[in-house]
Amino acid sequence: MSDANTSSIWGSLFRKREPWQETVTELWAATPFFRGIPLREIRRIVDNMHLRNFSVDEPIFHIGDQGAGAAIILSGVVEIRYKKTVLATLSRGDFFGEISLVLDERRTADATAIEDTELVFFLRPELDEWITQAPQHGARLSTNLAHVLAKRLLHANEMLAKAQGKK
Amino acid sequence: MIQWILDRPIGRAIFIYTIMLISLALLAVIFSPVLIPLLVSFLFYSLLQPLTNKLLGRGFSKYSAISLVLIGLVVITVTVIVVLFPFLLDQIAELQSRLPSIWKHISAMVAELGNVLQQKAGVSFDPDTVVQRALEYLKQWGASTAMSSASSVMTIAMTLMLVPLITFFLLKDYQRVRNHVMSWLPNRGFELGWLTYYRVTSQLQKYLRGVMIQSLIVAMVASIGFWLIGVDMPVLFGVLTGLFNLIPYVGPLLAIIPPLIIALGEQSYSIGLLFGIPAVVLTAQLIDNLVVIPAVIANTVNLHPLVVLLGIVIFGAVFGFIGMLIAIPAMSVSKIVFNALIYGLQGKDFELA
Repeated sequence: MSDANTSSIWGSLFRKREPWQETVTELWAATPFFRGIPLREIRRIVDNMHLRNFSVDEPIFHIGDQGAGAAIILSGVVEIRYKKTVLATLSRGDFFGEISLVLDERRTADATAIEDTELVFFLRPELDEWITQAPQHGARLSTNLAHVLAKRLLHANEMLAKAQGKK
Repeated sequence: MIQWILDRPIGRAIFIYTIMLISLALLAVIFSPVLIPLLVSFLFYSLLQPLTNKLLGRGFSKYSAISLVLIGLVVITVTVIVVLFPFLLDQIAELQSRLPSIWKHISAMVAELGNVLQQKAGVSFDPDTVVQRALEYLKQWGASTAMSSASSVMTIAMTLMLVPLITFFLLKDYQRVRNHVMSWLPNRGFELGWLTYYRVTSQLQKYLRGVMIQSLIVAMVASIGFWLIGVDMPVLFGVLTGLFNLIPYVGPLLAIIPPLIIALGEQSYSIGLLFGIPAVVLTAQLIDNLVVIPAVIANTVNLHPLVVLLGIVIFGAVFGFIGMLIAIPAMSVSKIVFNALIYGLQGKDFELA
């Protein structure tokens, strides 16, 4: 157990932030997801996010697992697969699993770490809580999320149309 | 065999649930000297945390939001203690001072009953012996109550000192400590663990808040009702009715007994009161069942009536009266946790349509 971890229980009242939290704040700020939201607010959300380490070939989630939220890649590479087809290969600064930020549904693809990977999870209940605390920024983030999901839908439609055209 | 059990969602749920129960029991033993202040603080935390979040949303800093909420809590608690406690204590003192005359009246009634029985049915018993025995029993009960109330004064003092302090640190640091403990989850159980945690806590918060509001409303309705029909010490009996309301089925019956005994012990009791007291409790029950429960605790927990009855009997036998009070909340919490586990673990057979 690292010192950084134990400090969450035994640390002083005026504890400093973990170094990864500042990096993740910058990574999220650069995504369309947090466009137009002040850095101070992003910092506040990141303080409640969860850092997890995955080793090579370790599954992050499987199709059918309960999805609790999205994850952003701090380091390493992640592959998103549906059955044996690779849908995307993602690296530092990319995020995935955002459908679970909106819906209480099961995962629709497999995600696997193909290198030693550090992921930072952003969970749906924490997003909901943050929206109640900062409704104005919450509305902005919801619109951003809708944009991201709509773009993914358009992309999926294009791929489907191409696939049908080939047939 | 163990693998066969763990391969099934229900088996895994039972396994995880058992480990949670054992951990909880161990924690309860370790923290037993401060268990009551801890539980009360967690109750306050669950009530105050949404309020703190609202203040944070309005631009307050974390420290000022927590301080403001806690100051509010302390002001309300002090007001309740200053206003309601002397009132309740007066009523208890009045009850104590009137007990001898009530008792005299009841013994006279027993003697009269003895005469009537002897005249009409030829059955004889010595009313003095009956009264003597009952008096001795009451004296023993009084002595043990006095002893326990001396120690409970200490417990209350310690609780009053510790609760605001623990609640402050819970509001400030609980999430950080919780995140740390949850970081021990293995990667494959991480998301499920958090989802289960959030499902359980949000339902628990709703349930506990609901039960507290429910008891408060029943206590108020019963107090007003008792006051309207002219029962003595209406607030005391109203608060008792609110507390007894935590015990389903049996609670309302228990709530009728104390004011009825006092009414019967009066020199000139009215027949109206004998019907009025059950009517007040029944009205409070009706309002509770028709208005409060659907509005406040609907869809949270549904326990089978047989489970409820068996639970009350078993908890009552093991933990006494307090056991009867906590039987339903404890079983409801168990059901919420177990259901959340089962729901979360049933993901294996999932197929995309």
